[in-house]
Amino acid sequence: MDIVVVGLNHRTASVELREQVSVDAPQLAAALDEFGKTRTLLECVIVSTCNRTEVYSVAASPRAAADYLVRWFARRSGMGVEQVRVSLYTYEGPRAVEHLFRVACGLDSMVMGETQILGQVRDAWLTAQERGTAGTLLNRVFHLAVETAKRAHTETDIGQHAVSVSYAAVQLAKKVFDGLERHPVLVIGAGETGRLAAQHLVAQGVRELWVVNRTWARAEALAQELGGRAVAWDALNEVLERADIVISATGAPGVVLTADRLRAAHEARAGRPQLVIDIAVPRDVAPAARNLPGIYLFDIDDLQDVVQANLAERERAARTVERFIHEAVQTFARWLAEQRVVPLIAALRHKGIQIQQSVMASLERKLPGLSQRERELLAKHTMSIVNQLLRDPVQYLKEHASTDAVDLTTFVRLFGLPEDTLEQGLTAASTVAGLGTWEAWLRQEAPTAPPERQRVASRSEPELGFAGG
Amino acid sequence: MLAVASRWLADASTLFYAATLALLFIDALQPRRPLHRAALVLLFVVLVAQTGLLWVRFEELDNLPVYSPADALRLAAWLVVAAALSVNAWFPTDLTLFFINVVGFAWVVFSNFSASAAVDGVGHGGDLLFLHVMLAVGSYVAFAFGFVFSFLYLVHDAMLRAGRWGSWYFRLPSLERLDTLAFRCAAVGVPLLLAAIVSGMLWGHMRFGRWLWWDPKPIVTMLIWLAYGVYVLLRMRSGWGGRNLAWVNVLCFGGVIVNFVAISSLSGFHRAV
Repeated sequence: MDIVVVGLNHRTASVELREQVSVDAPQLAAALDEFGKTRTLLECVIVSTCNRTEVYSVAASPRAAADYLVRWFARRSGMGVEQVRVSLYTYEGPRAVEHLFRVACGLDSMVMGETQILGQVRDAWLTAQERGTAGTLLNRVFHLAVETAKRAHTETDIGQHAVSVSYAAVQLAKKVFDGLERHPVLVIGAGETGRLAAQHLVAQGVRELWVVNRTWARAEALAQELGGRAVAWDALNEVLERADIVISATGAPGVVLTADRLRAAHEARAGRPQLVIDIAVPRDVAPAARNLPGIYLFDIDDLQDVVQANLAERERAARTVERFIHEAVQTFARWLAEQRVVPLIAALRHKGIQIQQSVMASLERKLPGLSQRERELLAKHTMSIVNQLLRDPVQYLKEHASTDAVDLTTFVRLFGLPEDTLEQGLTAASTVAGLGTWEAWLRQEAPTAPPERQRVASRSEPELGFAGG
Repeated sequence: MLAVASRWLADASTLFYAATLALLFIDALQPRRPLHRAALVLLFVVLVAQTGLLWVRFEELDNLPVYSPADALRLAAWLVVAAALSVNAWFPTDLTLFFINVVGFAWVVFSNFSASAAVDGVGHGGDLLFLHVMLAVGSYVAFAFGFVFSFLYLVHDAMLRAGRWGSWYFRLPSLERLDTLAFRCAAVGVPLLLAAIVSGMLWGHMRFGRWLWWDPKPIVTMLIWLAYGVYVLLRMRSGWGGRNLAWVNVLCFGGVIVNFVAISSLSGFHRAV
């Protein structure tokens, strides 16, 4: 018995195939119920997002479960088994658990480190719990996955770095200004690039926004969409003086904002700094404006460099998250190993209690005149003898459950426990063969952590795009 | 006995402070969370050692340990460490923590080479002299924080203009935040320094029976106060100061240091006897 995952994602399958096999919310309950009826799968959770569909299961025979799930994917996609198999991946045991942890932490996402997937994994688990298909093993592994992902987002800033040019513009604005809501924004040009950057700025709380465009209707439409105000092209100089942040993204073939024009506007601003972001190609703002005091000018190349720096930061954080994941898999492996000895410990305790109760009964027969308090004292102290005697063997068993140091058969015979306890212990969590792979995992060394950035007190980057799982 | 304890505590706090600074320096270059935590723990040890030193000095002198250049500097460094730790408990100060402690450590090192004898005219100084020293030290600490914020402003401004997107780009606060914090520090320091000047004048008049105007110390201190006053006024008029005002703030703090280190020794009544 072991954990198996079969699935596909944005790296292995086309968007058409992902759409076909995707399990939306109304279908999820039915799919889980279908899995619940089969004897092949003992437990299962379906994680289905726009970028992936994966079925996590616990099965007595991992191979049979994998075959069953591949056929299920083939049925959903309307393709042949062999045809769909090339887009599917299958992981068993520690690799399946590690994969889930990577997915929950956002390391397997299209946009590395995004946080949306954590909620999706949690929802998938809760739905499986509601339908009764998540049992002891998957509950434990999904609980650890959610905890590990939370740790990743709390202890690293993996999800807080800009990965798009438009959000890099917002990040730059936040590096110049403190609290964007107090700073008026001017968007020159009503194209898609300008719209995206402005959208990000509005999402950060910008209250005053002007849109200037040569075509009035387009300026008005964008201003309306963003909750701003359209301004006539002729009034550009006027709003240029008042705007703290200028986003220029026109399709003009030449320079729109000359250095002289910016200097004149800056002189009217009483020395207040102005951030000018030129996203246009060819550039809208004269490069000479870069040397003007009080003006911070960034062009598309600067924004690309910022994105690259952010991606490097995410990758650095990802290496730390990999270490968290390794630790979490080890935690799960140890827990799994402990499950092997849980029935033995329970049987040993049960036997101890039985002996104590038998001794107490004998004492009460031989000493009929005992008061209630004397009986209670005797019961307490005889139980204490049992507990003290069992404490060390139980502790040793727990500590060495994941190694070969304990011969469980000898243990069972030494304490005269029922022989079937051993069988219960072995089937409680995994087969002996399954445990072998987990033990190998426990012996692996954790990946070394890279230098990590300090947590910065900034809000998480909102993903306006289609970044989920 | 007390002199030995005082020496021992001074050496221990200097040593621990040096170790803290080394950890913060590495953290500034290659940030690692455990290193940062270790630096904070060490900084707390420094605070405890400095507090112990102030108490031992109090016992040793049977007087408040604020009347000698060395004691005043130790008090200023103690305030820097206490303020840095308190602020960091609420807001992660990151690079600011390193730079403010560079100033604090410089003061500690300088205090070890400064005169430990009280300045001229101090017996049991009385409340007014104590107030004068405390106000002056308070203003120096405020100016030190302001200097660090303005210095970081200049660094961040240079990085943005040069398009350097290294680790400090992610760790430095916004320019506007740094400018505002520098201004607030100056806005706290200026009235404190004015009150220190006035209380010092009054004490001098009471102690020596004349106004101690014509002396390098009060003259330079007033010039520094005026310079800071101009900085505050310019900042209030223009809203956001920008690079030039950050330079003004940095230069003003340079004046504070020169005033304390060099001008005090030229003073007729402000140097140790």
